[in-house]
Amino acid sequence: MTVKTWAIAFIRQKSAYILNCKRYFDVFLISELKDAVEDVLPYLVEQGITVLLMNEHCDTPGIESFSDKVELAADSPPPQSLRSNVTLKSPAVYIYTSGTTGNAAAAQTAVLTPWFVLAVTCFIAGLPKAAVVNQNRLLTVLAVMSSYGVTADDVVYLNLPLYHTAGFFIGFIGSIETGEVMLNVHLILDRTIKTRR
Amino acid sequence: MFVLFSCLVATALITPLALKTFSPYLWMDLLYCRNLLSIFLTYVWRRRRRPLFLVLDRFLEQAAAHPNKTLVVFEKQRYTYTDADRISSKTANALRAQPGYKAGDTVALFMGNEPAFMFTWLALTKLGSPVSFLNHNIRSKSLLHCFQCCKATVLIAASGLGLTPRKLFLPQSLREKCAVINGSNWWCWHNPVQSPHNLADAESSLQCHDTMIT
Repeated sequence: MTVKTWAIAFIRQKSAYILNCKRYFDVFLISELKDAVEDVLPYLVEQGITVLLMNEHCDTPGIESFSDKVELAADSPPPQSLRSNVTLKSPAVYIYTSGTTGNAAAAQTAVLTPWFVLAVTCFIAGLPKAAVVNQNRLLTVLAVMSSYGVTADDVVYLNLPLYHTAGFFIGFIGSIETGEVMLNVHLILDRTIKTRR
Repeated sequence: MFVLFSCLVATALITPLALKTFSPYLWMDLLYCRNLLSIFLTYVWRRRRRPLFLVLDRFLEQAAAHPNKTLVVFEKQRYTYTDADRISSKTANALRAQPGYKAGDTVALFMGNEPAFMFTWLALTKLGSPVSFLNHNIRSKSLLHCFQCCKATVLIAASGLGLTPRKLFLPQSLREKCAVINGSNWWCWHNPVQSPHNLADAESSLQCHDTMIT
């Protein structure tokens, strides 16, 4: 039996182990984000970036734990003056493309594209690209869910990732507007896996 | 006169019948158009409001209107609007006290689907910061690229995605082919050591696993 391997996410440190076990498992789910941050930590420290981890304690130098500080903080609302310089055109959210879209598009157009163009796009494609969403657009998004006739009595079942447009805009922002209950779950992977296999 | 009257009566009787036969959804369409118009007018009215009315203000409005209404259900926890408001205020205050961050700085979020994601977003919006959502599947080079191109100065990461067998609703046929590596421990539905023809390989891989983790 041939075994296809589809690794959802690779952590560089553990890739040797994964490659060793790939004959047993088709799918690897790696659920440790701290490791991923530690992987790029030297660069972040170099640039003087503050790295906060949503955890009670953290032993890694350069990463600060944040949950304990949240627990101790006061729950008074921060003053409105802090966001006084926000306008309708100021950026609210940066959302990234998956990065694979560039590759797929390059692969599809590879027949028609001259090789020198392809060589350039190979460097550009593959890395995620940021889309800037400003406050005005976010205000528009409020109307989406209610225009579909969703009311406050409804329950929205969200298994889309929150970092992506549909999950965050329609799921979260939409539920703020209409006031419905949002049922949030972890990513359910079976459909994705089925279509890939 | 009598002819005109009878024509009017006949029209009044036939029109509803004809509408019901030829365009049965006309009334619903009209109602929907009215809803759309009201949604559009709300949007225009909000845009013209001074001081500015943003998404956060809509959230605060909802929180004031229904403080005890559930906003998010996550696993067995329920968070009401008041909870969301309180937790996000706490997060905002903790962030303000954080050296290296000042209100208005771009912050990158590196988290899975969990309520903390939404609460942190609300907190950052309360502080007037743009938020950059990093895909939690990306690693090393892509992660760094995403982080750099939004000029963020703070990275807030969750420690893990918290995947356990119970939370992954995979069909039985796929469970045997699936392994989850969760920091220092890993689990799978199907134990590779039990397959006899691969015993030696399995042992070597397990040893490899130990060395990789420790």
